[in-house]
Amino acid sequence: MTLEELIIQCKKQDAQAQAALYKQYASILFSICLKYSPNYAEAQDNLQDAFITIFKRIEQFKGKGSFEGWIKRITVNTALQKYRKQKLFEISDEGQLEEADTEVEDTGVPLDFLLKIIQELPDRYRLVFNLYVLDGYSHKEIGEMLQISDGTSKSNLARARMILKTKVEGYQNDNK
Amino acid sequence: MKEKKHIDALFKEAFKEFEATPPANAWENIQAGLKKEKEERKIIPIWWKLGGVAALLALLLTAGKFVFPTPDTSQPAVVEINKTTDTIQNGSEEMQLNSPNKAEIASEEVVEEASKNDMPDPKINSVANSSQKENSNTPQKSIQKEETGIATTVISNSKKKDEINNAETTNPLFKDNVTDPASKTVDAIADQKHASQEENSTETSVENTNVKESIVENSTKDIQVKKDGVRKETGISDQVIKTETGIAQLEKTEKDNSVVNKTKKEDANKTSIYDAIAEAKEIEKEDIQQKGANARSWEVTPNVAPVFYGSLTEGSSLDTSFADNAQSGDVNVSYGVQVSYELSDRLKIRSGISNVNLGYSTGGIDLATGPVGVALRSIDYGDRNVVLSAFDRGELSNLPMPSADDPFGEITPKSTGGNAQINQNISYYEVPMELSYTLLDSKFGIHMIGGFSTLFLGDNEVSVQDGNFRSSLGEANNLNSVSFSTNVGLGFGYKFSKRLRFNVEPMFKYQLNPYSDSSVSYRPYYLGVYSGLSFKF
Repeated sequence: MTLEELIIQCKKQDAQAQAALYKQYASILFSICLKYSPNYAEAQDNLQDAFITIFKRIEQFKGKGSFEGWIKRITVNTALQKYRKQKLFEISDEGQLEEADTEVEDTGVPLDFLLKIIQELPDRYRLVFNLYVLDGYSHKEIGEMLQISDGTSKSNLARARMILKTKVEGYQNDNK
Repeated sequence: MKEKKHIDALFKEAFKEFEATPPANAWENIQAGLKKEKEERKIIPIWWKLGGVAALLALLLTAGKFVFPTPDTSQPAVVEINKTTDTIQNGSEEMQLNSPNKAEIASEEVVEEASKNDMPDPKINSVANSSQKENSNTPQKSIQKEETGIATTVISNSKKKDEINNAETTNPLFKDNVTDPASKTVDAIADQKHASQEENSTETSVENTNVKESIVENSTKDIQVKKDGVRKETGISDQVIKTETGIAQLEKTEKDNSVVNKTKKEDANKTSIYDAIAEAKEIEKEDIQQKGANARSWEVTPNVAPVFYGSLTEGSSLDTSFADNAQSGDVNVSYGVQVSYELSDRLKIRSGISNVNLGYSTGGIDLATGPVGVALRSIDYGDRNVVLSAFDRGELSNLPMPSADDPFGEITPKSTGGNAQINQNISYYEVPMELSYTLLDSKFGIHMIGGFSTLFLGDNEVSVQDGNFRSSLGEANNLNSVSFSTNVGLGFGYKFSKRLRFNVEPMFKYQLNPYSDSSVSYRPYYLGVYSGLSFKF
């Protein structure tokens, strides 16, 4: 079955087609969920919510742009939704940082460690870092998505980078 | 020294090909979620369907009311003829089916009934009895033919002509003929002889009642004699007896009030021509008047109610942070008008329109002015960037120190008396569709009510208040513009007269989908005690 046929069947709420679609995209979307969530359990919740939204709204997908892009956006939005509902007050001291040194040694740092330190970031730092660095959104777009200013997005990113850099360097020193 | 690279690049490269297999139970949870979603979505169509059915029913009944008016007004002859024809046919069928013994028993019952009820036409019944015995196998067709024959003979007699005319004057069946001179009536009746059997059989048979009575008179058998004995009646010619059988069966089998009453009235009038049983006539008239009163089936009720708003669950429709705050429903007012239609003696369907104002307040909050970004998201602030908003108590003190470019820093707490609360006021236009079932129907009545309402959102406002300070925050943006409620209640009524009744109805209305945001766990309901005056017409 081609992707188009699969989508058509999913629009008819066909259970088999839904299962096939899930099988095809679950691991890609789950990777997004892991990056945007603070832990594995929330990532799973996020994935479930995202798929339910995808199946519910699949009729709205008119074939413009890539399907994968569409479902990824839904997944990211699902992740952001949670933080739109929770107010992000817990971030302390968001003062502007000077443009710091963001270079790190290019030694092998395992992926699961990188994922772990992303998840450990404060919620909004994590979201901003993911959106900007890994998913290529601009500060302006991020500002709109998170309902914050461009400046806040920039300063959040800089702080996220600093935290990550410190942790990466710490890991590298421990494993020398 | 190893090569250095930008930290962004390090992460980008690492996550480029990153894929992770989700846990096995994730798919099961998704399936369960989809199933639940489907069920939730089904709720509304069911209510729509039910509403549609109820509306259609109401429409049909309304149409029926105009096409077939109730018997308290004068009835079109067509309806009457058809009904009577049916019963005559039934009567003759029964006659054919009955064994002689059964017929005898039946006839005895009829006689008993007749005397008990002091019916004006016991003689007819007794004649009918005898005919049942003797002619139980006679097919209806021949009866009608013979009847027509009699009609003709009677018409030839000028004295009887007058009698027929007298009877007709009081008989709505012959309205058309009433205005005719006596001679024309003769022609009309003669014409009926040739007209199609179905249409005219009733008229013919009714005429034949007169005919028979006339014959009876001619043969010097007075009414008393007829009342006394069945056998005496057997002396009357076969045709006459058969005619009477049709009428008698009509009396016996037709339980429908209106037709029976009509026929009774006719009989009463006829009898009065001969013997003036005025009392019976009056009884019949009263009976008819009573029927007329019962036929009033539309009711209009302007009503007003205090309504109390509450929730079945903990939670807040405004923000999850208020879920554990003290909340209290306000008592507001609902007013409107209701129209109900009697489907049967006990069942009424009703609809109408009313305005419902609901409100509740949430305590344990602090007020502060800050950027829209940090304010309550469930409120539409318009174009304003800096707004007054409410925060769960204690939340403000956890906020960081202000800093230059951070919107979170711009929050200015508002000093309050410590009793600040959020008030949410919602106004709906409610269109109910309910059934009411009467449990007790006397001077004091009790009925059960069940149904649903469609709620159209009117105004809504969220405001904050502390002592004399009051300020509107804006409109809630998570309310559905159309939502539904299920309604149950009990009604108590007191009848002042046949037309006027006072009602008190405590109702419980549970809102099905008031919020467009499915994450709101607030499950509101409202209680109202509706009181009003019902006018029946």
